[in-house]
Amino acid sequence: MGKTPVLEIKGLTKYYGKLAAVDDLNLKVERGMVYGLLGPNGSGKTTTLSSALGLIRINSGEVRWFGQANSAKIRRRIGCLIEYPVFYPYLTLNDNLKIITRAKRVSDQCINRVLGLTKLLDRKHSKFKHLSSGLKQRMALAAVLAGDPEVLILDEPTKGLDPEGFSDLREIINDQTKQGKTIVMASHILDEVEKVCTHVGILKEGKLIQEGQVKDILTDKEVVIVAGEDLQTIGEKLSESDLVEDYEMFKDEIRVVLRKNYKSNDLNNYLLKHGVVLSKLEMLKNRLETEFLELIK
Amino acid sequence: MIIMAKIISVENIKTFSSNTFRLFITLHLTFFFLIVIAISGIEFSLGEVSVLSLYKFENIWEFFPWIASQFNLLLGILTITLITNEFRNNTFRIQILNGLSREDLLLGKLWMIFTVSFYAFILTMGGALAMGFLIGEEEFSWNIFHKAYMPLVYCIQTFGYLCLAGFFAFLLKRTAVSIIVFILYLFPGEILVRKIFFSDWEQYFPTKVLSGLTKFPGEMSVKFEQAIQTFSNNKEQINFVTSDLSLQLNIAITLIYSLVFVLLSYWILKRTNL
Repeated sequence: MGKTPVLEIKGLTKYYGKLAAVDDLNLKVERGMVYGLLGPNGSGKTTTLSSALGLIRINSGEVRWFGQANSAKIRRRIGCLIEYPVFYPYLTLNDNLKIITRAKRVSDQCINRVLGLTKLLDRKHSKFKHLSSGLKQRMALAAVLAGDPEVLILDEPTKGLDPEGFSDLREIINDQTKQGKTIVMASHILDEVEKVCTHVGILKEGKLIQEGQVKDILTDKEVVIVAGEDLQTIGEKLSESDLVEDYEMFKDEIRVVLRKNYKSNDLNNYLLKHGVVLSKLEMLKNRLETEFLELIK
Repeated sequence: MIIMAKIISVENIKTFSSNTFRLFITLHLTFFFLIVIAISGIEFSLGEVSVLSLYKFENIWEFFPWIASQFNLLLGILTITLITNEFRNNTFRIQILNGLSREDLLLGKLWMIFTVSFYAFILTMGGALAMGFLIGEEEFSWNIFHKAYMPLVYCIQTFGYLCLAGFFAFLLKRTAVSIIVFILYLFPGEILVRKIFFSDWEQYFPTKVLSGLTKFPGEMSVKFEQAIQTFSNNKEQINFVTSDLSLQLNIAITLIYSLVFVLLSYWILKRTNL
């Protein structure tokens, strides 16, 4: 029972007209994982999550939560934020959360707790339509946490959050993880995913092109951005170098992937030795972003 | 039972706090009482038939539902708006995500329709009782409750009518389009279809059956017809009665139609991406 995956998707396919938004997708999320679903816009992240939660009809495939087919009862064990915060604009936060607690069939007593966690307690009796976009996102998180769900599904949870909100969200996720909760998070903020997630799946055109633990996906290869007066000459020198595994020329700069164990200093020294002075040498800090960009190319 | 109580509770929070609900109910209430009071002020009589006699028991039990039914369109638009707003604001989605099923969503909307129908019942029942004593100047006796079942019949009519409106809302999902199609269906859509293609069966069509439930006071309509014909020396038949079916049959067909509209709405909702 303990080994039953929290979420298992087999051969999920969803067409919009002739376009396959999700194409034969297989995915497994085990208990306690913090799973980051990455992909560029239109890669099928939201469609995957919406299909898994029964919001949209799928063309083929199978979705199982806790080893069972999706049902209203199953969804009561899950806290979801899909795309953007959706609430009744004319209702107060309290009333909106009452709708959720009653749908989840849990006590209204958790309302104060989740509003406190998301720092919205003083806005309890404000109407949802009067909140700023950042506060609306906080409210969406409050709704996700209502009923103390076993699994949290967060689709772009940082959208509209200010830096403080970002930090609070990270704290909430860390706290939930410590409690053994499973989290599935779709995001564009790769830095966040790298900091928070234990596992990632990368989607491209509806297909899962890479999946695994974050530490396995990350490589030790260093990626740098270089620029100089004569990009053509730099490019030529790079192609002759043993330090460089790959490079890509852009309009004003070149993105260089170094071979394992080589550093940006080595590249700078090599180019200086060949008479090339760089005006820019920037190491890409976010390594997951590097891998991500490489994969979806 | 507990599940139904939760669904009812959710629907009540949404409905009673909605400005749309408050506005339409206020409008309906205002129009109804304005017309009722305005008509009572008309000093008009044809022979032994006077307008004031409409406010006397038992006529008032039929007269008030008949008047109220003229404003059913407002309640239909209210129903459509409350349902299509859920699609527009994606609020059906959050309820599904939080553990309601599509059946629960439909049950919630049925409860809303029932609530509005019950309001219609209370309006006509209470209104008829109050006005019967105030305007009709009647004294209390148990006889005044003869035909007091008519507000309940009006409640059934409203329920059926709102189920039809709800069906259009679930089908089309957009407020303006649903309201326009609903109105076009009521007039001239269904009338044209039944007159052109099904003239022998027209009394079994939804709006014909529904409108047949609330009639101008039976006895009064005959007297009015006779009086108008005498007064105008008009040989043409004037008919206040809108359906040839018996009340019982009309009620049965209305309930069957309501069930059909609800099942169709469910079928549509099951196939809708939220």
